Amino acid sequence: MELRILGWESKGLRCPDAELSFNPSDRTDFIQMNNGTGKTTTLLLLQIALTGVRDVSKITDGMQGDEKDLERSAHDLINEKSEKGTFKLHTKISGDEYTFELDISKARYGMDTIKIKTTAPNMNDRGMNAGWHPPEEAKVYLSLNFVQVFVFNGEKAAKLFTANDSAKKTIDTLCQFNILDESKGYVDKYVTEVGELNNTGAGAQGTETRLRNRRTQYTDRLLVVIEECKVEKKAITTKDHEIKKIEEWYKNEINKEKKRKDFQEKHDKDIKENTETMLAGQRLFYEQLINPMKMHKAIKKRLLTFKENLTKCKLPEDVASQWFDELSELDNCICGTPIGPKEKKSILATKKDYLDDEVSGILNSIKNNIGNHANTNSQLSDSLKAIMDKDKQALTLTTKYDRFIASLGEKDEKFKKDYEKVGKLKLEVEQHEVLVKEYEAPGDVDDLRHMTDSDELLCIKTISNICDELKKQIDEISRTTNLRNASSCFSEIIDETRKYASNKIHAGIVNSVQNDIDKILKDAKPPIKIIDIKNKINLNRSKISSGQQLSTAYIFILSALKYSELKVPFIVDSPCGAIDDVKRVAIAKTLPLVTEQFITFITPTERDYFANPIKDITKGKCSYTTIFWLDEDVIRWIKNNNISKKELTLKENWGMVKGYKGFEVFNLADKSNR
Amino acid sequence: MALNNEIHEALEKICIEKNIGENTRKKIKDYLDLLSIGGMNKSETDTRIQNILEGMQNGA
Repeated sequence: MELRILGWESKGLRCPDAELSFNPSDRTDFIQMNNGTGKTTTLLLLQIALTGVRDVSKITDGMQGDEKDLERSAHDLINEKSEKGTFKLHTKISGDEYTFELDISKARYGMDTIKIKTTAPNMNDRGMNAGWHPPEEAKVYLSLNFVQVFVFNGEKAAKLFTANDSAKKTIDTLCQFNILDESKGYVDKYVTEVGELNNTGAGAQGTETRLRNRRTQYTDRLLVVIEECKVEKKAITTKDHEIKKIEEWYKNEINKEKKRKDFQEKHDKDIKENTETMLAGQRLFYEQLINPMKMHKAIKKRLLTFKENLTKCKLPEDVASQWFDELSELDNCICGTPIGPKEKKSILATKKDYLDDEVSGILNSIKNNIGNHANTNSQLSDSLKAIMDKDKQALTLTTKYDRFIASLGEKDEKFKKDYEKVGKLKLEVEQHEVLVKEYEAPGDVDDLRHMTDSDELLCIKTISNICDELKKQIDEISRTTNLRNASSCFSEIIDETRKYASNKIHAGIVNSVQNDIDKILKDAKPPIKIIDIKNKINLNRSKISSGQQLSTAYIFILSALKYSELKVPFIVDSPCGAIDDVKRVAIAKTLPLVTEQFITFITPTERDYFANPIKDITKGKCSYTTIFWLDEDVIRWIKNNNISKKELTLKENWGMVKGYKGFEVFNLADKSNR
Repeated sequence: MALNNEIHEALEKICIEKNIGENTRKKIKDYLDLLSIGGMNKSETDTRIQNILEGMQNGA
């Protein structure tokens, strides 16, 4: 992520109504302002615009050190004489320009006091959106904790040396451990969502075990019924074979005598004819059964009366809705009344109360069918009687044949026994067949839905379907369980990665920072050594000067930013704090080399040993702006120093000089110190 | 800006220790890199996570 500040505009706020724009090729932008000119307000506004945080107290909490000197509300950001103010921050984020506009009003309260608007070329609604909308990839680096790493008051750098959440978060963000934490969060969220979707949240493992046990019962039962079915089928085959063998013997016995053979042939013929006649009778019976006009004469009479009544009522023709369609198209009604738009609307509204095409069609079909069968007489009882006669005939034929067969073995005990055995075997085969039919029946939907107890089931297909259904349920739960296990494994990997990497990264940063400290703070006695940076910067010395602390903080932040390859500007108010002049030069020589944009608010007293070395090291790639409140001393200073109009902006109560000349010669302390 | 080298190296080492296959290792690395760059929508994030977790289950 690369962030560059292009400039800002402020109006009606507790800082001058300035418009600043920075040249992209400049490495350092100096803004020279005396105390009381609105530096802190500007720093606050920059942080609100960069983070989208509208709670000013949150920002001031992070900005201040030990002293409570920043207690201010959003209303305090507005000029005493104004009712509202605006602040526009122009930025370039990863190549695209984004403007964050703050609208602050004394007429609004709480979080509504500050309204934010984002303008960017790729946004909907003509490039403008209410709210704070930086690109997604930048959000993680525009958190308040992180922004306060690179936008801060140099005098308040001590927080990195005390164990607090802010120091830890800053160090984690600089080391990119926040990405690792985020990755775990997303994985947890994904697994929870999948669990909710499959209804397999907490307790899924217990449910899975129960389902697996249940499936085992059904699969065991399935094996049993398949085996039972095989046994039944085998019994049928064996018994059929035995029956066939005995019947073969009958045939041989019958064929031995012509008289017996003739009887057999006649019997076969009679049975065949009787069966065919019975089937024809059954077909006729069914045909009449499904036709109410043929079922019974009383029903037929009533249906004919129904048809006559429909005709008398002129149904369905006269109440068909299409009649209203046709009527609505006429110029005059059948009563002669002219049909205008109002009448037409009324006619069409009436249409819905009459019969539509579908109902009319059904009524017409009923009428036609009744008419077509008006002359048909019912043959239902005759058909039934014919079937019963043929059934009786079949029984007679069977009895006659049984007697014939029995007569064959009247004097043969073995034949008699075999004959009885065939009867018994046929009965048994029938019973086996009933069972096989149950085993091989199509699956029962109710048994599947209710998952009938496995012991009560015989149908192979039903049991198999239940097994499949249970497997499906187990698979769904099992998928979530496996996902949970994989998610735990992922978290372990990330935690261990962080632990392992943190040792190296911390060591790398410590080493890099230590090298710079050794160069810049070489005069420190005893030498300043960093012990670790686990949750804060731990030094070998409990007491160091504020100047040494500031130098160490700068060196730490810049080394860490370099380490994480982030390109962000470094925006610092009072960059020198209490550092002595020698160290100012040393810091000044380092800062522009490690950041591509260094924006700093300085006072004239900080200028000489800080700004000039930076000018040298950047080979003049700097911008200079001096901002001041207008008074007689300032006007005199402008005249005395021949500040050209081109470089000067003068407003009602403040002024601004652009360029190095004005910057270099500005020597007025703030009014309270003159 | 992708993740720094130290995290990549640590991730590779831990994944190997945990017998995570090369394919899944790459998927985890890509996922973390994209997360650090940002701009992944929910659907893409979910798909990448799903692939990683499935890869871890299958030992890929």
